[in-house]
Amino acid sequence: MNIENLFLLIPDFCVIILAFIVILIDLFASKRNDFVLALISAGGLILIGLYIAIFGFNQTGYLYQNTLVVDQYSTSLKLLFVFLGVIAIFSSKNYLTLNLKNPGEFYAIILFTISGIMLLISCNDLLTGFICLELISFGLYVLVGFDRFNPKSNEGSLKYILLGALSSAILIYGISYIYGLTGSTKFDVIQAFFVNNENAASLNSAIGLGLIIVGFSFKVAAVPFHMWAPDIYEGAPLPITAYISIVSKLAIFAFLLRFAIVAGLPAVEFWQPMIISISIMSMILGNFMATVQSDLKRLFAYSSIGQTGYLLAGVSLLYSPDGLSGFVLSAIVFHMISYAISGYTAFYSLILVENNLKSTKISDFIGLSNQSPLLAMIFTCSLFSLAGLPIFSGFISKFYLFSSITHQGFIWLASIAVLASLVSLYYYLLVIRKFYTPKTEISDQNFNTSSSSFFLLCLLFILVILLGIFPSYLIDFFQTSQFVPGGI
Amino acid sequence: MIDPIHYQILSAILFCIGLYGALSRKSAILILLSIEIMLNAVNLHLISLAAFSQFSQTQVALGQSLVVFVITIAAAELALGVAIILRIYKNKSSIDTDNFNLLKW
Repeated sequence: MNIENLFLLIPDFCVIILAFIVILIDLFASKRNDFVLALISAGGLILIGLYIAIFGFNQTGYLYQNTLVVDQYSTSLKLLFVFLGVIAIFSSKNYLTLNLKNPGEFYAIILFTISGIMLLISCNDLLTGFICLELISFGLYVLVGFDRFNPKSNEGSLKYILLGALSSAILIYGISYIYGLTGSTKFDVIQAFFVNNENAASLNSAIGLGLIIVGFSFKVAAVPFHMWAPDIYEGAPLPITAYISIVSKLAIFAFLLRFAIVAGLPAVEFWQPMIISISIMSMILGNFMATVQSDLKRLFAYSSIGQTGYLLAGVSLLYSPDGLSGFVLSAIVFHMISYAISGYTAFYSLILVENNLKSTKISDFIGLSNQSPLLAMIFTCSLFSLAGLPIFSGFISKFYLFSSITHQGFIWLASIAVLASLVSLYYYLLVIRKFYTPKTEISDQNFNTSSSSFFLLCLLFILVILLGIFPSYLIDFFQTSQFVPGGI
Repeated sequence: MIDPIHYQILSAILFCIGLYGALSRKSAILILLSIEIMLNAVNLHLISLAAFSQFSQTQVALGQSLVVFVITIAAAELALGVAIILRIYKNKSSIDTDNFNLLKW
């Protein structure tokens, strides 16, 4: 390797240094100081984001004998995840002050997971990817159990680590099969193996790819490997629920996309049927199970399983006769961004509600619009965006994703997806109805939300609408040939 | 004569034993140990592949270093898992997964 290339990883290293700084400040501070810690970690992330935005797009290249690649794809997704990390830190600030101890460790672990995510999306190698995945998962195991004296949080953490370790074992077993076939874990070598070998279609490669897909399905909570998700989402502290369901899931998807495009595209006939069936099951089961939930956290868990289904449907159709289908790739990435923004708007509203009501039961949301009309309005709009109603970003991204699926000739798959998202509209409307039902008894509970958190919520809300009205700027960028993973 | 296929079958059997244990055991510690068996099956598989395939020097080295990474990750996972189990034992005085039924449906 050459040392000159190391500057490509400056943002990643800076996040790790920032995490250590936050731990040190917490160690030497005489008393608990949530605001300063949140400000330092978020401010540092914003600076790193600015660095990526200004310098990142001109600096590309391969590192460490092609195990890491910094290209347009990873740079733009790094920017997205740094932004989401800032939102995650700000959204957990008030919740942390009210409910949890040790704010310094909380922010530091979040920063460590963000550094893992930033490395994961630039991985060009299965082993490096596996280690980054573990770096993210270990942080999340701790964060889920962060509410140490709450039995629900303990239980969620235990379930998460047992099933997470199980899925890691399955994933690494699959990787060992791929190593046995190709003698390497690098994506380009795997691709060359599938292209050059006539007898690549052996039992071993089927087992290897199958085990890897099962491992990834565990990690992104796709049916039939989804059973951990609702339990853990319910047990975890609410900001961490948002973080798992949006940030970590999308990061794994970004890695999966790169794996599918760079390494797996020649072997498409192996994994396409498997991914299509997983995606159909996720879309149907996720959305139908959400209709019977009484807790909004579990409802979000099942609806995010449904979102996984839409994204996987896109992933399965990446291949077109002339190589990669840029239409599908841009649709998936745009849907990821739109889901991240609208999902975080919904979760942020839920966190603000939960800070006041101390409950996430749907039946407790009666009369929310009387108590805080603006919050109820933004919450409603974000749920509409998740369901896919026009003018919000969710509509245009779903429309674009489903039309790309139709464009590939899978009209039946697109119609299943449309029907599933109709079901999702039904259960979101059930929640929204509660907001606008007047309360029968008058409560003297007043609703406190700080103006700074409202400011951030409104910012997210404006982004949801802007993405819905002007999607073409982003989509045009995603369709350029430099954006393709490995296209530098 | 022992062929690489025998090692593959042995590691597959070990992996399945571990998987069965992880899915059927009730005690959280035993589930963690079953997962360790699964990871060690992976190690055995990797070593046998590195030893018996017609690989170049660097490819063999990659397989053996993969084993080191898997061992490291398994150790970290076990440490974290035991810490979490200890926490839950202090709160509930039990590590039987049948007693963890606050979260369902």
